[in-house]
Amino acid sequence: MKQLTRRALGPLALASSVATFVMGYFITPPDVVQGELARLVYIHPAQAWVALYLSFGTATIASALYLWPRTRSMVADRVAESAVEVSTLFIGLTLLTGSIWGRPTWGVWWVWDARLTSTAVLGVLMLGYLALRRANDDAQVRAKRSAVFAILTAVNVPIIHFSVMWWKTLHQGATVFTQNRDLKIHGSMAWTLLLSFIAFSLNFAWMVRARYRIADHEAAERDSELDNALKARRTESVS
Amino acid sequence: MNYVNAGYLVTAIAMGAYAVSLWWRSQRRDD
Repeated sequence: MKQLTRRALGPLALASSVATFVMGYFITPPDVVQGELARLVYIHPAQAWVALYLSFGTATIASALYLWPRTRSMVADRVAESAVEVSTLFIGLTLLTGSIWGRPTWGVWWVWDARLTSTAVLGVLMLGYLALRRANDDAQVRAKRSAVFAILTAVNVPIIHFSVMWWKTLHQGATVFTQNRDLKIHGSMAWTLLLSFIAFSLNFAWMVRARYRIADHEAAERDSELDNALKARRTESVS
Repeated sequence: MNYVNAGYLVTAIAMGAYAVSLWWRSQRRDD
């Protein structure tokens, strides 16, 4: 069953992505206010969902598990590393597609708005995390520092989420998770939006799994290199 | 519609390129 789920993940991610594209691009009707531009709703919010909540949530939980002595393992560290790398891709995409949407609706590609600025700050922090991982060769020290950095960075996520409520921003408020729980999207548009969230989440799962496997192989290679070096050193000292 | 095309295209290229790079890196490791 586990093997089947693992093998089905890639095809499922691809199939749901194609279905989202067909539904969002060809089948759903244009919006009353935004017209054809509303088709961007089937990619941009789902990208933000993956970047901020899914990837970063995974990275934060994995980092906390690493820092907690009872659950400390290199598996948690590798999961955090993989999730942050995928998160960086999706934060970049969120900013790009948001900018593409902002130009025709707001008249500008970029504005130093609370939601946009806080998301960009998170993107820079993610690049900092990836740079920090390359700054130390000791696996334990690297894992510990990265985990602390990831948890400190997580403070930015609720700021991004609530930025549209706390400050006056150009960015629109919630469409689905509104304060009064009144859904602002209906019919085929709502179903396609839900499908896009499923598709991007499946893509996230496939990417993190693939990235984790690479990290695992790299660690095994490093260990075997170290073993070989130690063996060679022992042989030298005996002879 | 040009903006919509650009949004979808950027997404497809970035996600596709990253997926291919992951697949390629994993194949090299398996060799």
